[in-house]
Amino acid sequence: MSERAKQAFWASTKRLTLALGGIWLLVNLAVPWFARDFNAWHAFGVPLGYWLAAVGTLFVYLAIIVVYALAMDRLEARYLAATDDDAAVPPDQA
Amino acid sequence: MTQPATPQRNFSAVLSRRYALFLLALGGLIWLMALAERAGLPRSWIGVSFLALTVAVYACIGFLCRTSNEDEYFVAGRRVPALYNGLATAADWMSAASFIGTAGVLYLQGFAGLAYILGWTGGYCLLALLLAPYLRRLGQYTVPDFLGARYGGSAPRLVGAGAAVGVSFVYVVVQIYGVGLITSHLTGFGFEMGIFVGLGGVLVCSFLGGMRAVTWTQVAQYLVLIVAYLLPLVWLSAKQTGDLLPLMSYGTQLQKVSVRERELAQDAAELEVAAQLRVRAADAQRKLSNVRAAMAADERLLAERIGALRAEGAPLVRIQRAEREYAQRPRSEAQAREQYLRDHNSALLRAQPLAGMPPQTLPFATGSPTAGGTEQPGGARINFIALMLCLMMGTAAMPHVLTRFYTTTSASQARRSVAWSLLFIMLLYMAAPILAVLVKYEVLHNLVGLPIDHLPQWVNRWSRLDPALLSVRDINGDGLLQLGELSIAGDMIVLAAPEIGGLPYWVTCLVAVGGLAAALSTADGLLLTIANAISHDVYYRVLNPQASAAGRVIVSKMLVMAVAFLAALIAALKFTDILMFVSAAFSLASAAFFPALVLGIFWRRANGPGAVAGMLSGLAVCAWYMAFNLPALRSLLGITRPLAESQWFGIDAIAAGVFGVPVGLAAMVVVSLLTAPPTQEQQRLIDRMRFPSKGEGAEH
Repeated sequence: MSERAKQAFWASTKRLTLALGGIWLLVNLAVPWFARDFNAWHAFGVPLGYWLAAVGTLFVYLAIIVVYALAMDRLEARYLAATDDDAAVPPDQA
Repeated sequence: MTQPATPQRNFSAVLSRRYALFLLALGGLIWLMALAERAGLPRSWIGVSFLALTVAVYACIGFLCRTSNEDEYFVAGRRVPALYNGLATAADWMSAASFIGTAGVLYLQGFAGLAYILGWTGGYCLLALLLAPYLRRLGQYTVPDFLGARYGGSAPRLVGAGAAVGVSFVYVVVQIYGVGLITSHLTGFGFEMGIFVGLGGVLVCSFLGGMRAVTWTQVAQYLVLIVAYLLPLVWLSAKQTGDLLPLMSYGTQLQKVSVRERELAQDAAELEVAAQLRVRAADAQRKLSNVRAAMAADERLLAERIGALRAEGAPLVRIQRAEREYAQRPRSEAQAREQYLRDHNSALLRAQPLAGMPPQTLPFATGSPTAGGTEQPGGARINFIALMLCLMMGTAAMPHVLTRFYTTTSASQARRSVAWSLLFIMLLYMAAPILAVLVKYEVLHNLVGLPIDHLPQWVNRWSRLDPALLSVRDINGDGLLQLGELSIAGDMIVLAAPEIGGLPYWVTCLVAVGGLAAALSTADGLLLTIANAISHDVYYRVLNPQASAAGRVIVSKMLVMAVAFLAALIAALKFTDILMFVSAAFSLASAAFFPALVLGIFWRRANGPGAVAGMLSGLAVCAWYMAFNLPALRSLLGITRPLAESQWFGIDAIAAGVFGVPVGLAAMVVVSLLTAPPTQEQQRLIDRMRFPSKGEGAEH
């Protein structure tokens, strides 16, 4: 099993986790911090600061998890293909 | 090792057919109840049969899934498809507090309540990114089991088991309290009776079939609870705005609420009530200085008033209300002191504009009566963020939720399952703020201003059930209801929403049945977590490693029974403010588990002594902070140090986890670096956790 593939896989996993975690943290701090300022605008008739905290941010969370699940599936398939060329399971099925 | 993809796919197909059938049956049951009400059957009959039928269905599922096989009992055979694990997690997750409490908090606190919505959903990002797939790949039975495997030795496992039991127990008591509240509201049984009836429903599932039975019941319970939450919401919205999509249309209601809030804040009668309330607060303060004399005076006054009302031939409701007050007067000096203190605080709170409720959409109102929302957000904003982060870390570290991800087929499925979970959870959490606004609209527009003697039926019903949930007093004596004269507890908002909105009685029953499903499903998961932590991690791994698989399952079943009864006994003591206890459990969970789990996965150098130090110091900081800052604990422990001095950065006690987690992380890093690095075996285990192996991702 190649050590390089392992390192590359773990490095990209960490990068992905850090990037998505960064977005998560940014949203978490920005939405409450600027809630009053956001309230100057409206979304669907609701003051924006309130709407973001009640609805908008939840969709950002969901997007983070979906992107993560899809990207990790791809990363893992690539890793498995790299560590084992005669894999019994074709990566696209994974 | 590798299973072919077809059996799993067939399994999903079978499941979807069964649950489609279940949904149809649920629809049929609802329709039947609506017919029964129209046919004029007595209300209690509808309530009881609705309740009995749903609990019977859960019991049936539990009975059909009974098992003594270890893998089935502890992790449902590890073959739950991502979608269904998502449904089960959502039910496991959404507790009595989410179902009953959240909309109530949003009603009472407005924007501040959104910290719960954000915290309880954002935590799933942490779960997906940092924990769930790694735990699944290592494939243990419990969370303490993971700590034991990763860190070696008994200490991390035992500390983990202790924390899991402690946190889950606080949480399960709250669920059973919810069960009691709902059952007594629905059937008219006493609260204690309600608790034990509901308990039967929990026990049949987790006792007979462990995780397997709990999983499949939870899927059914999710379907019940989400229908029960959304149906009245859509109906109310259709009634108020004529729109069936409240997410898009409730902006108009919110605007009307805001306009009405501004009117009421300057209303002359409301201001008069506020002035009277301030007089009452001062009065209570005076009574506190000589409790004994005040008690005697109060008793005389109440008796005189009943006599006066009778003499003038006042309406019966008013006499009854006075008699109720007389019957509920405090009997001992300690009770009286407590009541005067409560009177003082609640009068001061309700003397603020809008009876102390900040305007719905205003972020971080500090509630100061003069500022009207122009003051700096300051402390309220910091507290909002602290509470939110604390709930998020607690969400990700709750042992009963983490165990759910052991039941999927692979790490990849665990990740997808988190996405499904969040989607199903969002359905309810996006609905809660809308429900709060629709109820507020009803109260502000249709209830405030009515003559006190002709209030709707539900007001009398709820104030008779428990005056702590709802009480009405004509404070300024004008015979009309002002907002300041109405005190509503958040816990009743959801349960009473159909009545408040004037929907038929069967909708009320449906909501109660949904709340029961939420409480039961969470209680199931928690009981199992507690029992498994003791039977698997303490009994089998430490005390008696020779125990057979069947023996372990039997021990766990006995423990489920014992813990359930203990929790029921404590819940029967009846405390209010359901949400505060839940938040405390979240702080403790985040401090106990978050650092040890996350560093265990992402930091190779983390070792056993570090993990133990991290968990204990995090817990200690949390417990210490709560003891000094939670009013209930302060009085219990006799702590007299002023609140302002014991707070750090002005953070409230329920967000104590924001201190516990960093302290735990720091202690873990320092102690790990000072002691020997993890063994070869533990290093290999970290590799196994981080890197996928052939075959595990094959079955989608």
